[in-house]
Amino acid sequence: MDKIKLLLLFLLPVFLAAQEPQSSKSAGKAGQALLQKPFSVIIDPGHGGRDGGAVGNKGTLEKNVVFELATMLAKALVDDPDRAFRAVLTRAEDKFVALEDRITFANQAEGDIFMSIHANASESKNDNGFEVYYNSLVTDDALTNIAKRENTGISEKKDPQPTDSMFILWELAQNEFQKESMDFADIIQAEVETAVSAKAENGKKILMRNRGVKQAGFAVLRGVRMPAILVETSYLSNEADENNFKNPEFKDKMVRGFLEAIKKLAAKMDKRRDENK
Amino acid sequence: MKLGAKSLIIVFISVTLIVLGYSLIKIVFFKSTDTLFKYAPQVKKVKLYFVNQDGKLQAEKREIQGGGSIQEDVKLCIEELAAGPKEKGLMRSLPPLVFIKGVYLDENRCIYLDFNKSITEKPVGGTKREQQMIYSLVNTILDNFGQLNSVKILVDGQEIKTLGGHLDVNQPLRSKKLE
Repeated sequence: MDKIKLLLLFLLPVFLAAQEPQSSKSAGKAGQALLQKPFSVIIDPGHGGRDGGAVGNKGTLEKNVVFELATMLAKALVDDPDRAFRAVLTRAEDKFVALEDRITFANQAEGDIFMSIHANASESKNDNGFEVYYNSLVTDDALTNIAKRENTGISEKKDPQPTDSMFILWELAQNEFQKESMDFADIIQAEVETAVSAKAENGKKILMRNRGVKQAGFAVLRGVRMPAILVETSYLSNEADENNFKNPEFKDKMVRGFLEAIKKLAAKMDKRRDENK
Repeated sequence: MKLGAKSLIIVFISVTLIVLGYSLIKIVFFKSTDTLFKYAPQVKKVKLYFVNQDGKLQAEKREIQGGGSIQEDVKLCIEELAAGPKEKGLMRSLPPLVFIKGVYLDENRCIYLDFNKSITEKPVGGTKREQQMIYSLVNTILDNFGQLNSVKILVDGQEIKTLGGHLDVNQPLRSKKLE
């Protein structure tokens, strides 16, 4: 059953990749784009099937809104005239896919980057905005402080508990993609803010709080062998945020922000790879 | 007395002293460790972390009639947490129908909280809700019981990957403030 599930998941990227040559708008740019190795983006729409995820007060389901954003982004990527992209979705329909299967699939698909898309919810209706996470085992306050001290080169006479240091070293060794994941998270939050806060033609502006970049131990990001982030697009438990999802312009702008960020990151990663050759 | 006999006596005395010293240290150590985790029941002032209007965790101070061990006191704290806040403006962090089935302690001072299935079945989604749930438990325990190092969450006696599909709880957890 799992094999069938994975096979179905593989069919979508093939379908999306097949659209690439048709999507280029200018012949010159298309030719340039086709010369490049496609930059492979694994898009992971959170939840699905029996797992609806967060539910808004007006009934908006997380699994549906994130799937819509994910498919919009996949289309925007393969249609991009400037760069050859391959977009791969971890679920192609409203279906439950286990976290382990998403990780396995992403690794088998050999993506250049992994992006999980979610919508948030809180016990407090005042919580709102979007935030971007990258993975770290260093998630609690004590370890975060130790990591900060180690990163800034400040040494202390009294060492922290040995287990703490070992924990960090293990994490650093494990996560070779942490730096690129941090870059990815930074670029995404900046580009989404720019895109969403841009005034519309009628002069109106969409209000959305930028909660910034954070670290947390997301199960879906652990084990993914590529730079990986998780985007919490907004809070469905907040009335204004939930209403944003009823506005097509909001979704368009958010996807534009994603696209611009991925393009910038792809250029940065290409440059880094060229330098290392 | 020959040199060989003298050496033997010295070695014998040294070994005896080492064994006695080790035994003494062991007795003192275990006695002190024991008093950290087993004690006379008494009224305790505890801080329980619930969710405030900004979505952050906020402590509510409460008095509980404590038990005779850390396992009993931790269980009492979790039961109070599951019952919900009394202070105005605070919200519950655990879904209704969640109850604690057992509390266990390991040699690394990690406390295991074993819940019924409602903790994974009842959440209504969202990373932040999951964080509120996890860290209200972890911060409550580690803030009140300084002798503990970490907290691990179990469901029906089994390890779990996540509570609601987001954060990895398949490892010992430590305190975190929510932003």
